[in-house]
Amino acid sequence: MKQAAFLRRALALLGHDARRETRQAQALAGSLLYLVAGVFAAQLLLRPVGPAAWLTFYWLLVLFVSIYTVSRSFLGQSRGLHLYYRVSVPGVAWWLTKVMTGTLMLWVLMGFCAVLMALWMGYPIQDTGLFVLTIFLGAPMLVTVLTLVSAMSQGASQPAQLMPVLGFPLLVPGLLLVHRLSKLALDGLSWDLVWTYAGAMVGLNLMLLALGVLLFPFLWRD
Amino acid sequence: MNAPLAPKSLHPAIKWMAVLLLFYSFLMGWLGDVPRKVILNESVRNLYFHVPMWFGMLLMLLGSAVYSVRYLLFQQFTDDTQAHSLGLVGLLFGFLGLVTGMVWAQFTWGAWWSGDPKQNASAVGLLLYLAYMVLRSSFEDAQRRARMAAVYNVLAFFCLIPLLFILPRLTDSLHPGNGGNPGFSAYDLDGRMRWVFYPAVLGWTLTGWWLANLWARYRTLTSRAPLPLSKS
Repeated sequence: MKQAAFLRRALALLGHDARRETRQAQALAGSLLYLVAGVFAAQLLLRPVGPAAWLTFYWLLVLFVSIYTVSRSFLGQSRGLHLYYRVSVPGVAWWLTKVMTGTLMLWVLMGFCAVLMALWMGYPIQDTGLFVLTIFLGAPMLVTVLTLVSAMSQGASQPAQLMPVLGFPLLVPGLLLVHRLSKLALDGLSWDLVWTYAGAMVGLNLMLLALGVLLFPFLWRD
Repeated sequence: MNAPLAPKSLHPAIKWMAVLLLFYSFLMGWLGDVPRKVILNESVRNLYFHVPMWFGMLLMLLGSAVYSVRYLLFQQFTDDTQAHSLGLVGLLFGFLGLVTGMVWAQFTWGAWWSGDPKQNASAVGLLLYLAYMVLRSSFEDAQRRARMAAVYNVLAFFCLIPLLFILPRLTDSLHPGNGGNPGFSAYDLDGRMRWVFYPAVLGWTLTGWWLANLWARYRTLTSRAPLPLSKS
């Protein structure tokens, strides 16, 4: 019974948060514009662009835009709304909701970034299916770490500055894996190695999700 | 509000053991007999200095994470101070481990820095804990700082594990024990090196524990600055 009530509340919250995100369309539009400006500047500067540079730039831009997006959805919240969530929702439900909405948003942004880069900088990826798998596994990794980090930097004297300082080193293991995986997609060779990296990614995501379930209630308390 | 209690001083036996073990490991580390190996030559002695740094670092950081978990469960400031001090000593050991490794790499691999997976992973590991220190310094409120730092510390330790143990195994590394290079067990055919290596690990770990304890005690005393120190 308790679980059912919890699940209902979490689902209601998910719907609410998703609605709030879509109503504040300028927020997502900000992230999209970030990507347009970034890719456009890069195609002016990186010319001609090799496949390795394409991939590196893709992940760097995705890293920056995810920091921007996640921190905005958290730190940009008004104090009143924040307080309302705090008293009405348990930390774990909030955590799962944030991971789900964040992941959905990042899937959109990562796909959009790939399309933009394909348009302006060419499309060197040989194995698109594998690239989609990489995006699918990469987004939750970025979102879990950054959501925890942004919740941690709330109340700090320089929250916006703390985000990258704390986030970069925590994201390195995941980014290395994601980069390896997409390098395989770039070369389009056999899938022998894919399962090793994809398995490691799934493991990392599960570990981060579980850590959030354990740690988020402590960040939530005030 | 009660002033936080300073952690107890370590038992003198532990301090004496640390001193004696380090003395022994330095003496035997420089003067003892070591196997003659091509390329490695006398640099194999780095095993007595470089590797204990990593063992020490990992144990310090593990201790730090354990104290952070304790802080989250019981909200005692002593635990936060202990976690902070152990983190600092872990960072010191990590830095020394990186430097001793680079000096060794200069003579065996031919470059101070060759972007080896082990080197990269340890550099990122240091960044993780430097960020922990930055996080600590950016909160005014002591309770909030302690709580946020504890959460970050646990997260950082869990991110350090895949970084140090899993990722370097996915690629080739020149580091002993990786990618077909002989590891520790290959060098000590008759177990001679073990008699110096394990005491060195223990000695450095105890020294680190001692350092962290001193630092934690110092921090606690200075944090209640208005009181005269002699009345503790």
